[in-house]
Amino acid sequence: MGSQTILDLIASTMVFGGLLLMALRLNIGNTENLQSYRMDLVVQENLVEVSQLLEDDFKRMGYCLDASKIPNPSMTIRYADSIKIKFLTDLPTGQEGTTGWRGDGALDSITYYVGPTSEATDTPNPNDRKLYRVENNATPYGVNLGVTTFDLQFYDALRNKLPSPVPDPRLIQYMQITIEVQNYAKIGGQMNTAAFDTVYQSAFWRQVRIVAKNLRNR
Amino acid sequence: MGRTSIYMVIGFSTIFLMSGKNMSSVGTESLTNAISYYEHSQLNAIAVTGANLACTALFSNNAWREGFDDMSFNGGHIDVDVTDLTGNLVKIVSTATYMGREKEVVVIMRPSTFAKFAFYGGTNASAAMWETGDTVGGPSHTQGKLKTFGSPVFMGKATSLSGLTMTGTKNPQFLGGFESGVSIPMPPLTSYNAIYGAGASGGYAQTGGNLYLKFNADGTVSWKTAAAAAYTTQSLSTFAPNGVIALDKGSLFVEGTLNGRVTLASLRSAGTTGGTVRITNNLVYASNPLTNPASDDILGVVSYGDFTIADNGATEFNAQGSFYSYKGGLQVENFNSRPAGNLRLLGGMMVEYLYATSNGATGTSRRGYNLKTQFDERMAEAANQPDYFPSTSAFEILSWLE
Repeated sequence: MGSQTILDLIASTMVFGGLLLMALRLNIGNTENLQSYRMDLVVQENLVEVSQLLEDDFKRMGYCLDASKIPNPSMTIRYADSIKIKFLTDLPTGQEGTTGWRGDGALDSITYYVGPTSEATDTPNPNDRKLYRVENNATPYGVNLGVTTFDLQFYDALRNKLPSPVPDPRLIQYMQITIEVQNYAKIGGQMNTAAFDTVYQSAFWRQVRIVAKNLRNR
Repeated sequence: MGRTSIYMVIGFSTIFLMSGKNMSSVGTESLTNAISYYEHSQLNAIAVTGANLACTALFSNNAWREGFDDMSFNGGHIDVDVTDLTGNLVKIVSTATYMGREKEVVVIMRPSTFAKFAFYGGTNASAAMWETGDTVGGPSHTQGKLKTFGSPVFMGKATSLSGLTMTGTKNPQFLGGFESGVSIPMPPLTSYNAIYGAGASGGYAQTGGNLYLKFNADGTVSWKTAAAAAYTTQSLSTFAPNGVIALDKGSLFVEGTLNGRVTLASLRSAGTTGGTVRITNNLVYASNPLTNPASDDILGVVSYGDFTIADNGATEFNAQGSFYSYKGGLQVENFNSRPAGNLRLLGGMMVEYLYATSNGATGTSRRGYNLKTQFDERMAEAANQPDYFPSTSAFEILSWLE
């Protein structure tokens, strides 16, 4: 083995090393991107879950299988502020498509609210909160689906924004629901950590809606 | 370029393929998730559309029960079944299918009567303006333009035919919402014949002349047909077994404490006279629904012309019941000369005209009554509304499930 061979070995090792570093860097980048996309997906799925749950519950606002239990529909919303709402409904006792889905004719209540950011300390994201959905007087159990914003705004019949908490919930005719869901953790060093807001994947949902048909029917 | 290079090319290609596949699978899942949400929304929208179409058809024609069968709409299909339930209720079930998924919207509707209103103002009553301090205790309708000054309070749903005009601070409080473009005309004259028919077939009916009624708290009624005659007292179930007391082309005089369920009618099926009601003294329930919501005392008064609150010299006058006037309104006799006081109306007032109840003065020169109305919440329930009370000829939505 002459000096030329040694030089060839050194050169080829350097070339191979360079290529290996490139491959490793590429792999790291790919992994981070993949992780980022996967987290985007998780955030999006969480948002869809939360929004569908809200939509389905809010559509039942003021509904009761035995309509005589709600003789005055405007009394349906019992409390409302920017992060909490309590309303009357008739909760389904079975899956959609079954008679149980139409409720049992007994009046129930649902309360939605978000807890403080200090509650969700088991995740690195300092902004996420637990979302609570309480049926009747059950013990509140919050789920952490990464909700960072749960904002409710209420409007009267003339589209005037109502203060929070709403002094008289009977005034409520329209509401705006805003939800933002963020990932529970930051993604790798490739992300821009200088700007705090950019390091958590985030998805946003807003709906302006008539409160519910049952509140305006009579 | 040897074998090693080929291995490297293969290796890199494999890495790229694997990472590309992973990326695209995440993208696909994300898209699937978004599409799933879209389909859920679309399915719901199609089912709601079916229910809305059925409601519109039913509003237009009360007898419509055909429904829709496999109607194509926006990429989905709608089936609508319309069925009658007990208590004159109608159920609409709109079932939508979209992308292999199914969604149901169930609507229960009921015929609507004017007794559900705390206030109904016909075309000629719509010139009146509700002002700060006025409170309409329940649902209301104005068959014209609703006018407000300042911040009157409408406790129930308020509707009007021709919108809303606000003046002053422009801050009316609609606690049950406000809807414009709603037309609820009073039914035509011939429709009141049903009340007279009910009186003739199972209650009390009289054509022409006067009828004096004095309800007694023990469930009896004292009645006569001439002012100078003596009263005859009978139980309500004997005098008018079905609770309907109807007078056509005559004058009805009524007062007392009602213990039971009665619909009074003073009609004018033809001609130019009769069809008036004169409330000669307090007309109240034996069991006050304000203190006993379970009270089963129900009074509906249907008049062709005015209700007149007779001048009995009292400063407090109570009238409890749902009062409906086809061509008139609520008149306070000697409103500009009788002692100042209050006319307290518990129930509803459905009128074509609004009249002054006082002279409008303040202090010692005030004469007549302040009108203080309060809605009888029991009337929100169809079962508690007076029998044979005029219908709005339309259905209203009782419950909506989607």
